[in-house]
Amino acid sequence: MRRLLMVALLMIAGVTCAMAEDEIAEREARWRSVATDIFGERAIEDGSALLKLKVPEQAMNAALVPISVELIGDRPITTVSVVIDNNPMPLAGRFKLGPAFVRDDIKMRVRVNEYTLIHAVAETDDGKLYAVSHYIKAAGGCSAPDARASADVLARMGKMQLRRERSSDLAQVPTRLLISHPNYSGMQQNASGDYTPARYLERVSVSVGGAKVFDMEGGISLSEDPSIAFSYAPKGNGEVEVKVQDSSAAQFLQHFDALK
Amino acid sequence: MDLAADNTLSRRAALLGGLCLCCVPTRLRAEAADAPQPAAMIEVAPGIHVRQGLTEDATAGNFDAIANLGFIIGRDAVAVIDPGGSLHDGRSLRLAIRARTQLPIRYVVLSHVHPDHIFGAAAFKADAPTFVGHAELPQQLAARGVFYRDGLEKILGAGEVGDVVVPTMLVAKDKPTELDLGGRGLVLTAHRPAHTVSDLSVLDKQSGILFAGDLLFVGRTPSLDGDLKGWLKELAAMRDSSVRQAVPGHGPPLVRMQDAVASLERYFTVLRDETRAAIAKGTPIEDAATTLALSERSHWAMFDAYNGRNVIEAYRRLEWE
Repeated sequence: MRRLLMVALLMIAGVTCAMAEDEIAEREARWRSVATDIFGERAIEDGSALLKLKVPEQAMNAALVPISVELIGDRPITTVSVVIDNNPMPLAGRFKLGPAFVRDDIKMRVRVNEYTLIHAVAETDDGKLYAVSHYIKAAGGCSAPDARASADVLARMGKMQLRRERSSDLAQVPTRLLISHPNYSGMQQNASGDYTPARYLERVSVSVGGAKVFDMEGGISLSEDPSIAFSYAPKGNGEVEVKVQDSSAAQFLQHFDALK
Repeated sequence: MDLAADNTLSRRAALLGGLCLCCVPTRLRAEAADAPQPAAMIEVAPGIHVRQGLTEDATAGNFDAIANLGFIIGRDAVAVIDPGGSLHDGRSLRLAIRARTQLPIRYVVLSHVHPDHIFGAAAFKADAPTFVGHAELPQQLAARGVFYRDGLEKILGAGEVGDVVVPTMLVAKDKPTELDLGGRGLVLTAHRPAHTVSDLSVLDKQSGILFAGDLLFVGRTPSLDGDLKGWLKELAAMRDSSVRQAVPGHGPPLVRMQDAVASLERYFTVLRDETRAAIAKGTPIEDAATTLALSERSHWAMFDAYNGRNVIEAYRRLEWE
C-alpha cells in the first residue's frame, strides 16, 4: 500500500517537474527570440560577475515596478540594457554610458504586462554581451489607465526634476532624474473609450559640464512619469544638461546648476 | 486490528481526499454554487438593508462579493446602492430584494468605478432601472471598464463578470441631486477626487444614514486611487457634517461616522507625512513601500496587501506636488 502511494506521489511530482521544464523552455525560447531582435545573433554569456539585478518577486503596482541594476566588478562596461521579455516592446531602456557615468546602481520604474523574465544585459569594451535575469509576477502594467486626468499630465509634460544627494564623496553625485511624461503605451484606453496613441520617451541624454553621463534609448515599458537613478562625476562647470525626445518628436531640454 | 495498517489506510484516504479536493470536485463545488442564493442582509434601519462584504480579495470562490452592498425600500420603489462585484453577486442581491418586496427597482446607484462595486449592475438590467453615477463615471468606465472586466474574468472565469453598465443619470460636482422613492428622499452628492475621481455618496433623509461608498473603509486597509489630499478634505467635510451614522464601502454594515473618519484621517495623515519626508530625504520608492506607515499595521486588515501600493500611489503623486 505504501509503495503504491509512493508511486502515485512520484508520478504527481514527475508531472509537476515536467510542467516546470516546459515553462522554463518557453521562457528560454522567448528570451532567445527577444535577444535576437535586440542584439542580433551575438552570443550572450552569464553576467553574474558584472551585474546584479534587483526586481521584486511580485509587483505591488504593475504599472510602476521599481527595479535596479547594480554594476559590480571592474570590467569596463559600455552599455547596459534592461529587457522585459514578455512586454509588447521588450527593450525598456538601453544606456550607453559616458565618461561622466559613475559605476553604481541604475534604477528605473517600469511597466510589466504579464509574468515575465526581466534581463539586464551589459556590453563590455571588448564588445561581448553578458546577461542576468530575474522572474517577476505582475500583470496589466502596459494597459493600466494613466493615473491622472490627461489634462494635467499634458500640462506639465516635459518638466523635470533632478534630485541629488550631497554625499561626502565629491567625485560621485547620486542622482535621480524625474521626467513628467505620460509615456503612453498605446494600450491604454482614454475617457472616450479609444486607445490613446503611443507616445513614449525615445531618448534621454544626460551630460555634466559637457561630458556625457549616458544616452538612454527608452520605450513604452518605462512607467508614467519616468524616474531614472544613477550617479555622475562632476565635470567641467558641473552644470547638468538633460535632453529628452519623445516618439512624437517633441523635445525637452533642461539645465540644472552645479551642485554646491 | 493492526493499528499501523489502519493509520496507513486513513493516511491514504486523507491523501486521496486531499488530491480530489484539488482537482475533480472543484467543478462540482462551482456548479453547486453557480445558482445564486439570496444575499444575507442586515436591516440597519427601517427599510435599509446592507450586505456586508468579505474581508478578502476577489477569488473564484467568493464571486467578488467583497464590498458592502445595500438597498433602500420606499413607499413606491427600491433603490440599490452598489449592485455588487460580479453578475453572481448582483443576482444574489436581487434575490434578497425580491425576498422582501415586489416594488419596482427604480434606481441602481454606482458609488464609484471600482469592479467590486459595479459589476453586479448587469443583473438588474431586466428591471430597467435608472443607473446613476458621478458625472466623471462614464469617462472612468470608458478608460477602465474593459481593463477591469478582463482582469476580473481571469479570476472569476468568463461569463461570471457582468457587462460594464454606464450610468445614464449623472450627478455633477457641487450639485447634489435628490431621488424620490415615494415619501423617501435620497440626496446624492458627487465628491471631488478622493478615493477615486468618481465617488458618489447617498444620504437617506428619513434615517439620516449616509451610504459613503469607499470614502469610508472600516477595519479593511483603504486603497488609494484618487487623491490623498483630496480624500483628507472629504473626510474633514464628513466629520464636520451633521451625519452621525454611515454605511461604509467595506467593514461593518453601520458605523459611527466620527470613529470611521478619525481612523482614516489618522492613517492618511501618517501616510502623507511619512511619504513627504521620504521624498525629501531621497528614500527610494521601493524602500518607502515596505517601510512607511507601519505604525498603522495593527489597525487594519489586509495591511500588507494594500499599504505598499498606497505608499507607491502617494509617492508618485507627492513627488510632483
